[in-house]
Amino acid sequence: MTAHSPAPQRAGFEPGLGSTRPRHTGVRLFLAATWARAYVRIAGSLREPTWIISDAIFPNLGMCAFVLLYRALGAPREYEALAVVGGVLTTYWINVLWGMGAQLYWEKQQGQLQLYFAAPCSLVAVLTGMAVGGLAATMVRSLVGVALGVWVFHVQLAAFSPWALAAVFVLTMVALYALGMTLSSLFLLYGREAWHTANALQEPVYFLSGLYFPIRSLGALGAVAAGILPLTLGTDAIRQVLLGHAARGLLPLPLEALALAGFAVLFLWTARVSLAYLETLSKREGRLTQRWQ
Amino acid sequence: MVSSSEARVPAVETRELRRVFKGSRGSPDVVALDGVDLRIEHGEVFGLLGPNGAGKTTCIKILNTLLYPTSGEARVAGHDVVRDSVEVRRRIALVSGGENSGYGILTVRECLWMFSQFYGVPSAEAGPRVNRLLAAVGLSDLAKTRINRLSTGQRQRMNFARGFVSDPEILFLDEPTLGMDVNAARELREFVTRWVRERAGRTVLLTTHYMAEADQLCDRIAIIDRGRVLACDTPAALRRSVEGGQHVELEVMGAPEGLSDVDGVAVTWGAPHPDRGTHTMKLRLPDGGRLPLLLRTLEERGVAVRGVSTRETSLEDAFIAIVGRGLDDGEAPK
Amino acid sequence: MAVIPSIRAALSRARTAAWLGWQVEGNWADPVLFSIYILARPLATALILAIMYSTVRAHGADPTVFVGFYVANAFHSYVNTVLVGMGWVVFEEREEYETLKYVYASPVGMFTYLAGRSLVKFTLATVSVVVTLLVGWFLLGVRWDWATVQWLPLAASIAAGLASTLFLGFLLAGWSLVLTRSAMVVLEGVTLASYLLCGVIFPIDLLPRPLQAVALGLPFTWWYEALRRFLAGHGTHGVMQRLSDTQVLLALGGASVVFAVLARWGYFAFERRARALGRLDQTTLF
Repeated sequence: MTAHSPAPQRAGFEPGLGSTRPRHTGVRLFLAATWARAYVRIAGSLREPTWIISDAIFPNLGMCAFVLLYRALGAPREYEALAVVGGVLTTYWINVLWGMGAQLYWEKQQGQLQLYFAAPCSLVAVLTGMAVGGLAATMVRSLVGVALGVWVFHVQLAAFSPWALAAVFVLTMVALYALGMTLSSLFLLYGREAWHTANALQEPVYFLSGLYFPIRSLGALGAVAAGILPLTLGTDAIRQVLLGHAARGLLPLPLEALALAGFAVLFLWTARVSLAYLETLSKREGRLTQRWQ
Repeated sequence: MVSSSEARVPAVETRELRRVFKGSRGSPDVVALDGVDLRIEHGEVFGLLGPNGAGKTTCIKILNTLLYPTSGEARVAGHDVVRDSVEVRRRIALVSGGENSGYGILTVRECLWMFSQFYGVPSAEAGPRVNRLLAAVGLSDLAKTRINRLSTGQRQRMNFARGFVSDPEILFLDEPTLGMDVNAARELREFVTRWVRERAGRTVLLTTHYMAEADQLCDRIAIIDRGRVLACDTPAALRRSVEGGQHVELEVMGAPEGLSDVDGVAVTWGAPHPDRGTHTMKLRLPDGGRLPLLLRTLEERGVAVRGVSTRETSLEDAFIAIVGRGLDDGEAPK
Repeated sequence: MAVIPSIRAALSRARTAAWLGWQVEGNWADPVLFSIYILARPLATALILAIMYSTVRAHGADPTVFVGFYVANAFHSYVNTVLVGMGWVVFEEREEYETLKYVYASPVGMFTYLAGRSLVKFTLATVSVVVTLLVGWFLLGVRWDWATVQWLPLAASIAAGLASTLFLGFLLAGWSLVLTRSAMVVLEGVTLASYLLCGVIFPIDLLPRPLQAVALGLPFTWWYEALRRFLAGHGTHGVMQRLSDTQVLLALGGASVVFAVLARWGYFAFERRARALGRLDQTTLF
């Protein structure tokens, strides 16, 4: 045994390190884990200026270009409003794709995923925390797009019900972020290729979601897209609330709201199933929690 | 605290634990664990010692519910790691040395608080405990520093503190001092010793590459190689289990090449000393009394002895005797 | 002469870098996925433009104006691919493979190395441009009169545009040497900013005045205008309309030369700064 000098005096353990009350379980553990993970997102969004720029400014640059294209083509002003609404929603989609979908892959690359798997809280709680934190941070950032629309492009909105807007917005976000949870499993399963695919599919999703034009313009393809992508329906529904007839909506608003609710339930279920499958696969093959594999 | 009913069951128990990784692209399957039986009692610091690829980390992963065993059984605090993974996770924590934990954007305190919440530690307890832990690992001054501004050693200490934030019943330390400087590693070893001593019933399962670390920390050690436990006992008993005697190193000149034994004692040769023109001869004598006799024999054979050093059997000697090679050596020649 | 062996050595090193680039870029398990990766983004953007145009065509949108925007958008793939790609090379080699320090410390020279690596990016971008134009021609009705194509000015403008793209790539790669983990964000942002600033899909007159001044200083603004005039047959309206073809070409040449000089100077300034900050072997992804 190696002899050595005594260590510097450190603080004692009792009572600070010992537990005096039971740890949370069940719903309280779920909520505690959700809040803890959401906190990372919220703190991060306030502390990292480059993220603020990337999430708040960059998506809106594309939006500005498309609005100016409508202007160059001499289109009526209502089309600019369509593009602005789509541009604002792009901010959320980017957050869902990269902040939710790619996150578990990043956690794995950083060697952190195994800590989540070994913790008693569920992975769904962790992902819910990411979603809540990401949504909160993105809502603030999306205001940049709203400000551009109102003060730079002078977008004119129809008289709308804030309740209807809130309802449609919440349904859209729940469906989108639940899809993000499902994507996070896929990203992790297919690794680098999923990452590149998502990167490659960013613009195609903008196209299929009709972010810069009425989804009705896509004809049958638009209907198919609306049946697959919650972003398509959500964009259309929010435009219908904000712009009325100028939105050139695809389906009646109540029907779209109902379909969005269906999407939300479906994707929450697929997220749960895919995460459970992921955990089983991870334990069986022993690969998914290891970096560079 | 560990309840009395739980105290009766071992902290960790494995029976015929086996794990086979499927070979990819035509390569053969890899048997990482091949029928491992372990029984670790509450309050023990237990070491798993083995060369690279011995199966230590696989064993830790199974016990941490990160990996299914192919067959056999593993229980942590009486709970089956396959069927009762949630119950197991409530009682354990894992620290893997040399790995990152936490998000660079968070401060050190926030990171530890976050992990405490993943384990359901009530907020009223989490804050004070984090502060105590930071003091214990010497990071109090850096509590408000963002993780991405920490040095590697500081990050490792924070990662180490994370393992204690949930006050686990059973703590798994997988190479916890890997790459740490000598002082930091020594302080963390003392931390573990005090934690086990002061938190009654707490158990530590340690894998390490450092013999001295295992020798200093562990109540018992299992020596594992190619997925099998070759020996399991206290460090002192493991040392005793190999043939005792005295290890002698002689710096000699004029020894005939190929000399493989002296008076029936096997000789191994070290590298020649380039300046002095001497060679190092290594022998193990069954008893110290034979050394003068050996020196006389060498003198008679015209071998000039320039220096002599002796030492007692170490844990490393025991390890080499049991495994057939050193901790960092490659496969032993067949 | 010592010049010829050194040119030979530089070419040999650039060839090696290009080979490495191909090994990295072509490392895909699935060729279909690889094709999607090259084509999906530019084609989707082209389709968005086409649908936007078709939606408002009934309101009197000028088809010749749209053709010009479509062509410029297709060629913007070069800027997207090369600009992001060269910065990404730096980031990936430093953060993921941790090989940048070895490349930097070897005699290959970063400038030569980056030029070699960019070759694959240019090749991929060329595929993307050609496919986008073919899709436009055959599927979307984006057509121009081949008889009015001015081949020589077109070739000259493409050469100047590609050279400017390469130098912009150098500049961004240099910037990436200094940037930490925000490099990816900055690269993406510069691409989007260039899309807006250079008037790829609208006349720069629609930008606020200060931004117009910036746009006129960039070679890409002139490049896109040249492409619209010499390939599609029609330039944009507004400030550009007042300029002759020769003036546009001269402006493109002048802006390209100034930009190349500034970009080269900028690259080496960034490189010196990166050395001073110790960023060449720093991993910051954590």
